[in-house]
Amino acid sequence: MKRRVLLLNITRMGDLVQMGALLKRLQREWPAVEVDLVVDRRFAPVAALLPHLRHIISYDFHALVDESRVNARDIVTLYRDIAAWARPMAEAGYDRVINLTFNRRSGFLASYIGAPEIRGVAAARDGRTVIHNEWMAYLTDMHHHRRFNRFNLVDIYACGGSGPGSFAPLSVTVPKTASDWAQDFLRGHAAGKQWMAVQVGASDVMKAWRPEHFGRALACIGKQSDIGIVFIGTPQEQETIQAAKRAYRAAGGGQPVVEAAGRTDLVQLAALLAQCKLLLTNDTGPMHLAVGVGTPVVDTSVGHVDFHETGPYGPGHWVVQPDLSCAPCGFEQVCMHHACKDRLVPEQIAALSLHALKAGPFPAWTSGIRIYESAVDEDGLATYRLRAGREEVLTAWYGAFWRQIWFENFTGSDSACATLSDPPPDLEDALRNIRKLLSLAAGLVSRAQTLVHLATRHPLPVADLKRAQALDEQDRAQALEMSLRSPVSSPAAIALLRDLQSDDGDTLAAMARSRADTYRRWRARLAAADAKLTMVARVSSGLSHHRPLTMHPAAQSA
Amino acid sequence: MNTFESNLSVVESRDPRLAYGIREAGGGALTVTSARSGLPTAQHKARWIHSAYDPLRESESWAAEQTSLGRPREILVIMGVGLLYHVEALRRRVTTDTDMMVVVPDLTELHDAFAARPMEELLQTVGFLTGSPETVADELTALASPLRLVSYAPAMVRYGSYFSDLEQQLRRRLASRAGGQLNIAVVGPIYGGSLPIARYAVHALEQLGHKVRWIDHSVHDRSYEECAKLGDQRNRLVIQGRFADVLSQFTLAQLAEDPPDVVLALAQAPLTSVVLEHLRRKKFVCAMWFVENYRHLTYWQQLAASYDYWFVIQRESCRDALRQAGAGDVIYMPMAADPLIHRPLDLSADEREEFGSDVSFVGAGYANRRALLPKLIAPGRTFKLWGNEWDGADALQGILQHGGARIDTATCMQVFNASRINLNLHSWSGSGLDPQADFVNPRTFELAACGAFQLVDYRSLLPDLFTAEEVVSFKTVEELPSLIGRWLADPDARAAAALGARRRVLAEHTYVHRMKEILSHIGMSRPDRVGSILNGERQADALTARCDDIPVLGSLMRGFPSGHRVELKDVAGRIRSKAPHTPLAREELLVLMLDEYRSEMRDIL
Repeated sequence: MKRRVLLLNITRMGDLVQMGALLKRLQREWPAVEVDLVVDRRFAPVAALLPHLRHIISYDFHALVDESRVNARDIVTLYRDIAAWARPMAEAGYDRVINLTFNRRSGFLASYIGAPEIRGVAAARDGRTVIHNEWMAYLTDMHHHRRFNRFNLVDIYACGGSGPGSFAPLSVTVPKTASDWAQDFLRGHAAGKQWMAVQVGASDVMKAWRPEHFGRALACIGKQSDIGIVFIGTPQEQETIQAAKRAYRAAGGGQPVVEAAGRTDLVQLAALLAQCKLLLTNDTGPMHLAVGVGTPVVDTSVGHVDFHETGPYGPGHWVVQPDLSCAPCGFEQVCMHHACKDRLVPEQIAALSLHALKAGPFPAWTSGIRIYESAVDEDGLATYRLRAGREEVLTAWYGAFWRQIWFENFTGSDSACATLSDPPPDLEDALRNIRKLLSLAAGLVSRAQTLVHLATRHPLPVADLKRAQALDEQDRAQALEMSLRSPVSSPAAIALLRDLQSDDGDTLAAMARSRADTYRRWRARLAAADAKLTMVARVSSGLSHHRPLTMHPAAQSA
Repeated sequence: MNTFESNLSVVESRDPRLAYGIREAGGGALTVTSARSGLPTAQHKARWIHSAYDPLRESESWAAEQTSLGRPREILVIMGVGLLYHVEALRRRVTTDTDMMVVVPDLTELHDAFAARPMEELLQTVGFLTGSPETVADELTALASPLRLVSYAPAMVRYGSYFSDLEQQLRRRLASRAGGQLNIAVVGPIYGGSLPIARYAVHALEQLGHKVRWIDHSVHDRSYEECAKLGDQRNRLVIQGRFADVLSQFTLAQLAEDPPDVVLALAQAPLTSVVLEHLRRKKFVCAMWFVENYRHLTYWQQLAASYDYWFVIQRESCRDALRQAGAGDVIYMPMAADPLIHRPLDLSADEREEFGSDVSFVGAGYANRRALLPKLIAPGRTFKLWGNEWDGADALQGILQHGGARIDTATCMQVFNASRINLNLHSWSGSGLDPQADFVNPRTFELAACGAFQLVDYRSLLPDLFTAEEVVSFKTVEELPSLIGRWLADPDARAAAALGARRRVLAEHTYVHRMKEILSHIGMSRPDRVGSILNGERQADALTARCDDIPVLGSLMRGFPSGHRVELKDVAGRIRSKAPHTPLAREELLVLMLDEYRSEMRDIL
């Protein structure tokens, strides 16, 4: 039977390209599956470059925001319009709806369309937000413990939307007409020249490296390599590009410069990137396009960007991150100093870019930054190997620790990655903490079972129920408070909090059962953490002989 | 059958009286010739109504420029007849179920059009309205659907006053039946003469039953004054400019908190063109009531294109200047009075003694006033001068009240009421009287609303607002002494004029009138938004009537009181307020989705 899947990936261009692995994995899971995509109208041209999509169903969601905010149309007209657009999807009979747009609004749409299986954000029967599928749930949880996240969005999409599998690179197909256009465009500026693209702007100023720094880095590259520069971006980024250009000229940049910003559509942009030897960029949609067309990337990961989550996917790319305790900052952070951007020294970025262009050695000396090389790990997932700079030991250790626990928890199989050898710096505290929490978790599971029992009695023992609920609340608060304090337990506590919000049921008894299941899941995660920690303790004390996890060779640990 | 008869037969089958009228009118209004393309084209008094080269192509590009046409349930009302090429082009662009009406000021012109070219197909799908502006306005307002006026300017020129009357009539009718509650944000200045106007506008809008939010920047006046204390001029200007930028962004953030149906800015409101352009992109409707002399304050040049509507207190020259600077819609909107503030007072004898005099003047010491007022001091009559900035005016020190202190509005009203003759001199920085005396200042309306007698320097726009019996004016300074003598000697005539002026204000010139006219104009040009709200089409009962095929939405709508305006957020709020764990219908999920999009804020700042 031919399967049908609907993907909701509405908001961002980069996210579209990043579902490349999912598209391939769906084909493997359900050969000849028909996959449709819902996307914002402005990104539909990019979606058309992706393989394995049957229908691209677009809507002008930006206009919807603008018009609904100011009540430009009355509720009846508004409803009729959106229903006329959405109803055919509800009637299409999809086997699975995969919501890759992580917000409430897309959750409502996913549940309106409906399917036997919804993965990602959806609306519960009473309109509350729920998240189906553990990988997808992890994606929302990880923003509360970002420093320990080691999963790339591409892998989360693929594993959550389909399941684990072997590595598949991102893929964007450039039509020949666009490819010819790009060649002509560049030839028109300097025949026979090699080019590197530069994305100076970003959708959010927080995640844009300073244009002046871009200019200086480019001047430095131009002095050591015969390569022309292609500025890409939107028309709104012209001012930023001009600032970079001024700095480029002021620093003695003499290579030819092509301004393509605002002069390409998205398909031409992809074609242009395919013609370039390198893209030096902020973490933006064009970065993923470049990855998709096979152009190496040097990614300046500043502001609230976490490259582990959204960095260039697959081998052959480079990421530079400032070595600053606040980096990356939170999504809601409003920063007045943007000091992280000045940590990235233009000359060092230039040296790395030259290395990426195969025109120079790996930078011999760096300061205030970390350089990562993208790669694929033994589980077939994206990873970033530290090549220069220092990582905070606790963060690095728990990042690797939780990477393994979550992978094994979500897939039900062992990770092929090496186990951790050295113990964490807080081993004793961590062991004490996790065992205390396991005891609290057992108590919560037991009380939840009591609640199930009470909730199924007739007549309902209201006083006993209230008493048990009050005790449950008290113990839960204590467990959460303790759990959130330590890196050995905080990611599991975040998952518990989210699970608690998703508890559902038609009856009191069903809700009590749902709560008991939530506590059991939490206990299982704690038990997994305890087992792994105990094993590491034994390995480090010489009592066990597991293959140790090699901390990346070029990395130095602080 | 010739072309004329063939066309006429279509009309005859639908409207025999109109057909008869066209036949009887005869032709000759237009000179019909052949365009380069071979098609007939027309001119009137050497002015082309359609292209001399290719009228078809020209009308196509005109139609393409008409945006937002043919929204559901709207009727397109086309102003301008000519040879109807433009109507035909429009017909091709809108859906077949969109009704189109052409306003015909003169049947002779339609006769010419019918004789010039075949158009039977078009005539089967458009209607014609003829008669006086009042008759046409009556017919149009009797139609149940929202109207969208579309102007074909080349064919309107000849009937300029007809169409202007028609628009005014339609505005008045819309204003008189406006029942819906708008959500309006009034953006005021930091300080200055437009600050009290902002306050009056807010009161008036509230009296009309609208939900009004006053974004009052006068609270920032103290900080702005501190900036003004900087000694270095360049630094001062830079800081004041940045301060205004911050206030502009702040206004944007405030507007985003509860997006209004209309943003009404008063002159000097700290809204920069960057912020206004952003608001436009985000589909906010922004209007400016520029209660300033456009010749003196010229910052409108930078903002002209950024507001959707300019309401101005001067006529043609001001309108032309603004349009040249990029303004789209410029409408004359004179000043007014607030009868709750500007009103007759029952003064005690002591108050009459303190504030009264034969002649008074309230205002600041501009150069022309310093030169003119000493000439009016005369033995045998009292003259009191009120206001500030009179330092160095030695000849006036004897009549200057309260030591030249600034006086508040309440004192002003006491002076107006207690004075036998109130002098009203429009401000002017040169000597003598304002040589370009067009607009009428607020003082004229305020004095009139108080039932106070005034002598005002003549303004070209004054006769449109008051008769000579209601407000007495003078054209030269030399006229003043004898005018004062004459009117002082005739208290009954003074009282009659003052009473007439007050009646006129109450009937036509209050801020309530102005706000109605402003909103009606916006409503007419945005029938699907502001117009539909004013017409009550967003009220629960009207919306419920349209939900027959959406029972879930209809049921939600019926939960609102009749006459209550209902928008997306209200319906979503109703859904959210259901008891926890209540299963929702799929349609309700879709409403919640829409509401999530509505509440997006990230793209605002």
